[in-house]
Formats: sequence, structure tokens, C-alpha cells
Amino acid sequence: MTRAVDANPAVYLRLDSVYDLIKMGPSRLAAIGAVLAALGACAKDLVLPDLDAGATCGDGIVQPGEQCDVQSAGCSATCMVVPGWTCPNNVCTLLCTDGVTGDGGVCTGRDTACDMTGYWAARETNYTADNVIGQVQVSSAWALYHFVQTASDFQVVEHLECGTHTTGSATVDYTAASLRVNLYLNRMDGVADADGGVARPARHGTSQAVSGGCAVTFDRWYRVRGALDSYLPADFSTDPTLASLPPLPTVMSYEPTSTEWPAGATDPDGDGIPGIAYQVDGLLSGIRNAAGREWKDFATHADSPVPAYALKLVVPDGYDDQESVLRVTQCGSGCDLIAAGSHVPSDLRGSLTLLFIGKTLGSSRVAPVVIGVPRQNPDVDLMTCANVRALLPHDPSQPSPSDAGLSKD
Amino acid sequence: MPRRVLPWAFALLLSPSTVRASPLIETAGPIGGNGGLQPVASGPSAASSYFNPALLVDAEDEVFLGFALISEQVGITLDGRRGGDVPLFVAGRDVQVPDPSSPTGYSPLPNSVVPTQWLQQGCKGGSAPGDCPAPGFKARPRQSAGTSGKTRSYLAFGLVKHLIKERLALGIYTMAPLESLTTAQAFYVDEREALFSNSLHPELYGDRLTAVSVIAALSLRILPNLSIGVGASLNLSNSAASADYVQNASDYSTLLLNNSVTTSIDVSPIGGIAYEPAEWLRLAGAVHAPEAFDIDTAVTATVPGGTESGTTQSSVFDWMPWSASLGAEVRMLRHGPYTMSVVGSAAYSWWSAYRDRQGQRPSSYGPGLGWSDTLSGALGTRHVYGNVRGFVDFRYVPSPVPEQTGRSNYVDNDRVGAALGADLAWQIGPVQVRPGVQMFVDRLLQRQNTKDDSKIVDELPDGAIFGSTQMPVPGSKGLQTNNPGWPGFASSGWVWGGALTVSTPL
Repeated sequence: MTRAVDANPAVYLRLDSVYDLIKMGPSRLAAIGAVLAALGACAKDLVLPDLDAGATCGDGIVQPGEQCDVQSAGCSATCMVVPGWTCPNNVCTLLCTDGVTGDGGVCTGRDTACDMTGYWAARETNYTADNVIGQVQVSSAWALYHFVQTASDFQVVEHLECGTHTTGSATVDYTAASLRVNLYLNRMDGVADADGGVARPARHGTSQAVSGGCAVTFDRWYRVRGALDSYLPADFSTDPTLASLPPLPTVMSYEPTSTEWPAGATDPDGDGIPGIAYQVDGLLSGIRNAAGREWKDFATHADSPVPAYALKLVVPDGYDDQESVLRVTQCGSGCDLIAAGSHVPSDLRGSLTLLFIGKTLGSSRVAPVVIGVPRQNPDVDLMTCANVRALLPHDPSQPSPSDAGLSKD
Repeated sequence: MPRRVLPWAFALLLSPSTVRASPLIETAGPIGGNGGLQPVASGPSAASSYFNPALLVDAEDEVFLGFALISEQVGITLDGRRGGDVPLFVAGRDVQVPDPSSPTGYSPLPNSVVPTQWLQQGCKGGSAPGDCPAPGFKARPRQSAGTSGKTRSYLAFGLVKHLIKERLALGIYTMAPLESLTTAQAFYVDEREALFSNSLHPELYGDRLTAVSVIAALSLRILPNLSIGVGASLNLSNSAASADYVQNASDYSTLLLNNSVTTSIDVSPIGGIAYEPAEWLRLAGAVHAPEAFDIDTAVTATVPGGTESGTTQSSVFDWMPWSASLGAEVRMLRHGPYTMSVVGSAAYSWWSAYRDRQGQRPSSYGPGLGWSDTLSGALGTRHVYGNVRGFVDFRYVPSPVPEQTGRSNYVDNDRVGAALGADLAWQIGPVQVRPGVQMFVDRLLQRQNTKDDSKIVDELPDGAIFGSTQMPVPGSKGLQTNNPGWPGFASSGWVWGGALTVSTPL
């Protein structure tokens, strides 16, 4: 009897009987093995093409039908570029009405040399070193300023504090409640804070023409959070150091179970815990409530004035801060690390980056960023702050001592 | 002597311990002898030490050496995605997600969630907007690191020696890879694997085919037609401890590290029985205890602030279940120098207790996703013609893995297979040798898995907000996942192998 066991010619075998199989030589068996090997080698991994799910506005990828897809006031909720903006490579920037973008050049939005009048998005960049492993932490603090300039002096007439963001060995942000209340703390327009603080004179600066551009200064400003205004200097005119001021409120234990409430501490965010709350994330996670204070001032170097009509300008800072941790919670076994805090290294200076938005509230340049009149509605102001932060995103890159004092802008 | 052996043997049976397993031997079947795919009831040889030690008393005294190849060719096809990307916004680590248990109502987005774009295209190191801190985030596109498609070679060695003629026999059987000796490659089978290979891997092959196994067994004929046997796998198990001092979390070249590894030898018992009620019939059965190669890794990290933190991670490799197998060999024909037998066998394996490489039970992924016990079967014939003998076997092995509709991506298939082999007793002067050749092939039947979106982890939950601004995160509505197996995958392939053996009477 003859029968085929496989229709494939390569393995076409005729077995007259079971005896044939037994009598089959090693060479025939090896051939079968080679065929089996060839069959096995056919298996490959494969990834089928993605299906056309249509453009998804908000996924960060510019797809057909979208002009942009980025969190920015210049990119609408339908992923269209807002008039007055440009979004090349999915990065949105304000467009000068004369079509000139970026630093320098003549722009009808800022038509007087060295005049700071108008709305500005601001990002203060600072460097600290954490107290555990000494890694440099990069912090951004945002604000919206409305300046009015007379002669060489300008003054803050409207101001929002738009929160902070810190990256490095940990990521630190305000909690939602802290962010909201911080909008209106330490106000700089000459009016007392709503939490009962004392009114301070409005913050001033100078901007005057010098050879090669403008010399810009911004006066020293002290901030306090999570403690009474009495921890601020009694006399601002002497520019006292933080170390010379009464110590911040402290506690014996910052453990989650502690119930201490030190004298002088406040609870601005209303979470029932003294101090203002920060969400710590990254390699560690938890909430840190702290009392803190700082001062910052800014001045251009004599040999590095800013361009006269710059839409974006960077001014080096002077900076110091103090923090007293009052409680850490939701921190698992890493509470000590959450509470470790940071210090200001002497060799790294920060900077203030100002981005000109426009002169008039409600104008085509300003309206997409400053959603409404500041200080009327916290929800609206939070949206404005989100726009400010998107205009000047946090730059997490570590500084090098050689360019200390200037941000990468 | 038997009286001394039996208590020891039963003590072994009653105290199974977790040790290095033998998935390699299970996959390859016996190298040498005439057992084919049904060594539980057929082909007494040194390999019976593992498959059914009771058969050792029926084996000839011999020593054998074998060279084997096993090739795994499992192709995995990932279905095309239909959206579902984790947006680039999460790269800023500034996203909070609703959390009713948190006093603030939100908690940070877990750090394990990264943008899909980073996985597919990477993130360039640099300081420009959108760049990552140097050296950047390396791209790991889906299924770019599949691990199948390997052919490995092995050396097998065996020995049978009767300590008391026809009453008590000793068997030793070992099989070791000639390269990649004892690898252990842990991987996750869910969305967490996106952070590593971002690929799916065959669950029951790969590193499981690199185990070194040594088995020793004794067989005792307690009645003229009844024998029993016990054996043990002698293997290594490891524990590792790593004490780290972290000087700079952003520069791990400064890490101070003290590692400590402990290796010990364990045993796992095997029991068997064989009964020949008639000269033409053999009934046999064997039981294997569950086995695994556990590696417990203790990591302790100390930072300069004085804080210590530590954890112990347990990895499980080469897990094998309790299994019981039964078989029968019936001699159907005797015609001069030719005899022919039919062999049938079945094996029941308790895969429902499976633990994967991360020590998880598949049932932890939800209802209907736990593994099943399996009943596999084989049928074949044995032939002897003078000094030549051979076998032909066919088998069916169902997969214990259910359709992967949820988070888990266990890749496994039902198998149908065949094996054939033969050897020849050959007298060369005063020396008798028995060269042989054998081969097997298993077809892994095509299998499609389609995900149920409701069972997939939405890595960016609806309602996510930017922590810094409290504004909604665009693109958070609906399902976003980096699960490499979503929205579905298919697998099929081949596992084949062959061996050349030579044995000589001892």
C-alpha cells in the first residue's frame, strides 16, 4: 500500500508499511527535521497598524483636522489656533500684530522703549538643594502682573499669584485649596490681604533706557505663607535678612498624628492643619504643611541690559527663603524625607522671566490669557493663571554654575 | 535495604518544597529510550527517573548521552490601537486624579503612567521645551522586544543501574542547556510592562526552557508484577539582598552597593507506580509535586538624611503544578521479530494555582481570568523489530490560560503535537552501543484575545486635573492605557525539537 502523509512535495513520503518507518535511515529523518525547522522559523511578531480613531483633541499630538494640540491659551478647546497667536511645532506664542515674534524688534503691542506698562506673565525660577541627597530642585513660581509706568518708575496695579511647581528629587505643588487661597496672598498693589494682613506699599520697579537697551529692577518683596504677617519685617525699607527676623513657628513633632498648633501659625487653606499645604510627588509622596517666608528682588546686570522692545525679558534675582515644616501626612514610611526640606545654594542664582501679554484688558492679545478682571472670581483667576503658566512653562533642566543667574530663556 | 529506602521516599513525598522546576523536561519529553511523549507508561529508561521512577526496574542498565535542540517559534500579533493614548501632558508629572479617600479629593497620578508618545518615539534628552533631562527617555515601541524565536541546544545525560537484580534500580537523569545557562527573566503581564519591554512574551516558554535539572530516583519491585518508584529533583534556589546607599538620586554612578546572594539546594519529590496484570499489558501512573524557582530579593536603600527604606520582592520562575498522569501500554501484535504496542496516557495538571513571574496568581486580575486545570492526552504506538525500536506519538495539550479579556496578557495556546524516534542496538566488537534519533513538533493553535475595555485600567481617569492649576487635563475622557496587549492580540506558532542519543550497557 502506498499513501501520502503530506501533500507538500518537500515532505512527500511514501510509507509502504509501518516497517518502512522503522527502516527509514537517519538521513530521511534529518530531512524531516529540516522541514520542521523551516516551518518553525516562520513565526514572527507583528504589530498591526493603528486604526483611524480620528483626531483626538487633547492628546498632545497634532493630527489631521487640528492646528495645535497643546495646553495653551493660544490653542482653543477645539485645537484651533486662537487669533493673535502662532503655534509652530505645537508650541504657542503670542503673535505681534506686525507679525514679528520673539524678543526685540518693533511691535505695536509694546510701542514705547523700556515702557513696562501693560499685562505681563511672570515666572520666577529658583534653585534649591534638597537636604537629603543635595540634589538641585528647580522651582517655578508664576504671577500675573499689570504694571503702570511713569517716567522710569513702574508700579504693580494688579497682581495674581499663580502657584509654584518644583521638580528634582521630588515634585512639589500646592494642593488645590492652597493654590486657590494663594492667588490673593502677599498682594503687591498696595491693598491689604483679605486674610487680615497689613497693607504694604505697592511694589515698584524701574525701567530706564541705557546703552544697549533697558536697565530693569524690581524691588525686594517679602512673602509669608502659613504664618501671620507679623513674621514679615517691621520695616521693609532696610531690606533685612530672613535670619534677622523672629523665627518661624515650629513644632516638636511633625508626624501625621501630631496635634500641635504652634503660636503664629495660620491655616490659610482651611484643611485644619497649621501651615499651607504642598503636595509632594515623585519618588516620594505625601502632603507637607509648612510655614514659610522668602524675599526676592531682581535687577539686570549693568553690562546686560534687556532689549528696549523685548516681548520677553529675563532679569537675574536675589533670593532667600525659610521654611518650617509643621505637619506631614499621607506619607507612608517616607515622612522624614517629605519633611526634609531644602536650602538655597550660594552658587546658583535664579531669574525672573517676563512675557509681555498686552496693554489693555479685553484686547485681542490680552483677552485669551486674562479671562476676566482679576480678583473678581477665583475660578476665572485660576483659568487665567493656567494660561500664564502655559505661556512660560516650567523648565526642569538642571542649571550649571557657568550660567547661574540666568534662565535658559 | 528496601525498608530503609521506603521511609525516606515517603518523607520526601509528604514534604514538597519549592525548588527549581523542570518545565524543560516536560516540554522536551524524555531524551533517549523509547518513551516518546508517554514516558509515564512506556519506554523504561534513565528518563523514567523523572517521568515515572517505577519503570526503572524494567529498564536495562545503561548510560546514555544525548544532544538535543528545542526551538520555540511563537508569533505574537498585536492588534492596532484605536486611540486610547496617554497624552503628553502627563509628562510634566503635574496631574492629579480623583481620589475619594484623599482629604483633598485628589491624589497624584501614579508615576507608572507615562505618555504613550514617549513609549513609541522616546523623549530626547536636552533643555529645549518638550525635552527630557539628559539622557532622555528611551523609546520602547510595542512588541519591539519580543522574546520568542529562539533555538537552544542541550546536553542530556542518564544512567540506570540495578542495585539488586530485577528488584531495585537506581536512575539518574539530567538535562542542561549548552548556552544561556539558567536564565530568569521576570516580566509583568499587564500595563506595567510598558515601562520595561512594552512587549508580550510567551508565558510557558522562554526562560523556562533554560532550567538545569538533575533527577535521581529509585525503583523497587515489590511484587512480580508491581513496582513503585520515588525520585527527587535536585536543584538550586536563590535569595538575594541588595543594600544600597543613595548619594545622589540623579546620578546613580555614585551609588554604593552591597549585594549578597545565597544559593541552596532543594529537592522536589516524584512518585510512580507500575502494574502489569498480564504479560501484554502495563498500567502506570505518576505524581509530581508543585515546583518553582523562587528568588526573593531584599532591597534596602539608605539616604544621607538617615532614612532607610526597604522591601522584599519575590519572583517566581519555572512554576510547575501538581500533576498526576496515568497511562497504559498494550501489546497488540507479535510477529516474529516484530512487536507492536499501543500506548495511551492522560495527565491532569492543577494549573489553577499558577503563580507568574511576579508571584501573582492570574485570578487576581478578576473573575474569569484565573487559569484552569488541564487534562491532556496522548496516543501512539511502539515498534520493535529485532534490535531496532521506535515510536510514533500524538498529543493534545490544552492551554490553562483563559481568553485574556482583561489587564493580563498571558500568552499561551492549545497545542497539538507529534513525535517520532528510533534507535538501534549495534555491536561494535566487544562494545554494544545504541545510537538513536528522535524529534517532536507541537503546533500552537492560532488564538485571538480581544480586550473588554471595562476591564482595562484607565491610566488617566476621567476628571483628572493639572495639580498646579486645577484645570481639567485635555484628553482624559474615556480609556487611556499603555497596556501593550490592548485592544487585543493573537498568538500562534511552533515548538519543535530533536535529539541524537547514544547509550551503552553499563
